[in-house]
Amino acid sequence: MPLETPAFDLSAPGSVIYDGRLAAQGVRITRLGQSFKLAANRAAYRADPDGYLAQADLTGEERARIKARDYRWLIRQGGHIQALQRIAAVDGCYLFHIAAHDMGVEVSELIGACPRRVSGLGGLAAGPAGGVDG
Amino acid sequence: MAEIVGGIGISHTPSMGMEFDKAMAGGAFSANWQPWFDGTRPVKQWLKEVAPDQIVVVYNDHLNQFTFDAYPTFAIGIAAEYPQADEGFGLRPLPNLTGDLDFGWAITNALVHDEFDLTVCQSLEVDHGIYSWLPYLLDAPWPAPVLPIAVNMLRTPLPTSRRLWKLGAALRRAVEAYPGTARVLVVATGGMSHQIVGRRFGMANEDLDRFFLANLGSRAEELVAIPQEELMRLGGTEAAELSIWFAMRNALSAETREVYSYYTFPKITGCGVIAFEEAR
Repeated sequence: MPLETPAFDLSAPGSVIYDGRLAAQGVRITRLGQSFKLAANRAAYRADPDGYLAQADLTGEERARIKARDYRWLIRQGGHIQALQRIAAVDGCYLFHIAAHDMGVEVSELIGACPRRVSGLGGLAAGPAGGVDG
Repeated sequence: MAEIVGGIGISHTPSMGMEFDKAMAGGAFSANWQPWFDGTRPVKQWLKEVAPDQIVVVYNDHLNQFTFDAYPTFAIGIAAEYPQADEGFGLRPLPNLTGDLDFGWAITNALVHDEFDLTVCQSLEVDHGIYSWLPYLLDAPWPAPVLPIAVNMLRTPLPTSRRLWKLGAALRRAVEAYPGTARVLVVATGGMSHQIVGRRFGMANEDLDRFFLANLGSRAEELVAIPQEELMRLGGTEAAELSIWFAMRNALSAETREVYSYYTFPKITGCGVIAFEEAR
C-alpha cells in the first residue's frame, strides 16, 4: 500500500512536536537511550539486556517496550528520537528502522519511498519575496 | 582588527558523514550522494582562497553533548580541543577540532555583556552537527580553530528566528570589538527541509529550500518574519533548524555578496549550501 502524501499539517500522527510534556513523560526512556552513547554500555547491554535494563531507572512497561524495540510506543511515550537512535544503534539499526516501525511499514518500503516529495510554499509565494509558484 | 570575511549556511545529517567516510575509504559515494560531494567542491576551493583564521560555527547538538537534565538554549564552547562525540557507531577517522581560548573568551565576554545569556562550556564534544559537513569543506588537520555555539533545536521552547537574527548582530559586534587580528568565517548549520518523526517522515519540500536559498541574501528579514511553525508545517518539523542560518546572515553586512549556492535532496534531508563573501 503506497504511503500517503505528507500534508502541510503539524498534527499527529503526521508530526510529533517534542514539547515539555513529552520530555517529562519520556525522561527515563530518553536517559536510557543516551546511555548507549558509551561503547562500554552498548557492550554491557548486548551481553545482558535484562540485567542492563533492570539496573536502569525505568518502569516495568518501559523495560518491556525497550527490549521489544516498540518504537511506536516509545515515541508516543516521549522518548526523544535522538535517544531512540542510540537504542537502534545497539542493533546496528537506525532512523529508518524506527520510523518504519512507527508507521507500520517495512523498512525497505520506507527507504524506497524516500524522499517523499511535496511541493508548495503556502502563503510565502504571495509575499514580496516571490519565489516558486504554488 | 578582527573582521568577518564571509559566511556559510549548510545542512548536516549523519548520512552525510557516513557517506564521506565510505568514499574516502576507497569506496564511492552512493549515486544520490555524489551530487552533494560535487556540489561542495567550489565551496572548498573558495575557503582555500578566503583562508579564515577563526571559524565560528552555530549548530545544534543532538543529545550527544547535552542531556535534558540541563539543556541550554544557547551554549558556547571554549576549549583547546573539541572531541568528536560517539553517536552509537563509534568515532569517525577524523581529528578533534581545535579551539582558540583567547578568541573564545573574548567573544563570550562580549556576547554575555551584550545580553546573550550563554551556557559557557569549558568542555564540549561535537557531533554530526559539525562533523558531517566539515570534511567536505576542509581537510584534516583542520586549518583554523573553531568556536562552537550550540542552539537548542530538540525540545520546545526553541529560540526564535528573530533571536537567532539578533545573535548574528551580536556576533558581528563581538568580532569587531576583538583586539587581535583575525579573519573570521561564520558557519551556520541545520536543515534544510526534513522530518524524522511521525508519518510525515522523509518529507522533502524542495520548493521551500530553494525559496530560502534564493532569498537569504537580499530578503533575509522576510525569511526571519516567517513563524517557525510555518517553516515546520511546510518543510518538516526539523526545518525549524533553518532559523540557525539567520545567526550567520546577520553577522554579515546587509550588502554581502552571495558567491555560491547548491542544493540536492539525497534521501531524507534537503542538503543545501550557500556562501557569502564580505567586501575585501
